[in-house]
Amino acid sequence: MKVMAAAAAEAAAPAPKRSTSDEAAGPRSQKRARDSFCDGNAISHGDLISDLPDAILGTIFSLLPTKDGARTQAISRRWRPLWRSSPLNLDVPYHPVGDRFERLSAVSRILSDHPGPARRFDVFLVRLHRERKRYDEDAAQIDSWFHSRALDNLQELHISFALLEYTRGRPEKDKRCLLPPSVLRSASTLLLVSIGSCDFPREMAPSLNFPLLKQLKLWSVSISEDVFSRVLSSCHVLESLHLSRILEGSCLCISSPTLRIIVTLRLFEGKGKLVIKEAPHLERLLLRSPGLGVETIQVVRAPKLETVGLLSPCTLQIQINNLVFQGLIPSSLENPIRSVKVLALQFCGPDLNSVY
Amino acid sequence: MATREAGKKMIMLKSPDGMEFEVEEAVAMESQTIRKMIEDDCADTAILIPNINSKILSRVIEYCNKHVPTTGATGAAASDTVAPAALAEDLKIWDAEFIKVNRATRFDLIQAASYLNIKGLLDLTSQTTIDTISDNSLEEIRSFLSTKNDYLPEEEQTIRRENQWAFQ
Repeated sequence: MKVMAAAAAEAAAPAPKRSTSDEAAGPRSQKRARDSFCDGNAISHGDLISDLPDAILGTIFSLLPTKDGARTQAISRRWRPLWRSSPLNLDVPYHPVGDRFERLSAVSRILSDHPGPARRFDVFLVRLHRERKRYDEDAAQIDSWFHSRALDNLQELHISFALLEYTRGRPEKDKRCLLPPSVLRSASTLLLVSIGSCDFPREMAPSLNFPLLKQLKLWSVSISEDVFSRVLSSCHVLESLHLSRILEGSCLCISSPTLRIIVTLRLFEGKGKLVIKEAPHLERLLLRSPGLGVETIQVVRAPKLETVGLLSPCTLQIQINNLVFQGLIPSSLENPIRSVKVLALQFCGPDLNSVY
Repeated sequence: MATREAGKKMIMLKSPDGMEFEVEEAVAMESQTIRKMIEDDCADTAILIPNINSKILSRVIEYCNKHVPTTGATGAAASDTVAPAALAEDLKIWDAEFIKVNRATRFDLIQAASYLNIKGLLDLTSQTTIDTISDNSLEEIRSFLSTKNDYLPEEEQTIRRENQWAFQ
């Protein structure tokens, strides 16, 4: 570390700016400075939190879990208004025990207690009733959350739904909720989105636009090729895409001028195909573990692709440029992939020769 | 004041208690506030950092020095030889050690990070406070923050009742 400390007097020579002595600073900084000089001694501060400017308190509260934030109202009078006047971090954690539907009303309750604005919404496994009438009521309740003004400028959205019907070992038989379209109402301000365990609508609103979205994660969703392309093309600055357990029969085509990282984790539940058609800035294609079905991954144009893996011989066929790997064996060596620097392979036998 | 040493532009930072710190421009520019001053050409001589005493300022500089991107600071980029993940892990461990300070120092660091607009340091210092509020009972939070409970017992009961969901 290169830090040189010298007494003010020694360096006083050409100092056209104001003097650095205490007297020159305003009364507020004098007080602050005095406080700071006493540091190392917590007692001199009194209530530490009251020294913090509102902007910092806002930052702290906007990162606190909702329950902890609400609890702080009971600390002291000074604390009482802080939670409600700071941005809301709305999270309702999932508890396997307890009333399976009470979290719906918990979210509604928080949104009626706190005026917002919410920066982050994180509710995992939202459960709707199965019967038609009650399902509609629950869906209307979810709509009302996303139409509330508190969620106007949401930056982070994490939402997933409990299955309506579950068939052990047969994911294709599971029944999922339809993603309520209102969930994406704040699309224009979102930076980070994670949506899980639901069916995407067959059509997206023509006005859907994610001008700020950097990270998108989709897991256990069924989404049509058209809607997927539509969602991607409405993202203007997307850097990272995470796909996991996309439901059977899917063909996902990726064209993105900004995408840098694609991560897949058990990409498809059944048969599926991922085509990376045009990704000029894609650097990493991380295939973290193959899906249960047959996956085909085709990379048509990704000139900056540096890291690819894990290629597994079990279920994966991958094609980069015109080079097809089937069970890790390249079909020909006519089109070497020059940009890739890191390639991770999983293999069963000792025959590495076939990979080179 | 701005000088040159070994090809790197240096910036002088002054604390209100009269100490001066000569730091590389790249290190100082970890602070968005100072970056703006430099970019607006307000930094031809020493920059006075009001409100932040020398003890806190030296810690802030220590943090910035560690977090300045390695390529600029050391010439031969460390990231060529060390995997980014390992570097990030190393920084995390360093951060955890760095933040082991007493409460008053931590609150001074939060204010300094806020004034100098150093996002990483503000996140680090705030997170420690958040962890304290999240992990502890109301009594423990009060004692940590040196806050007195000035509610009448019935007032506190009312608040607890109104927000029952948060106290379950």
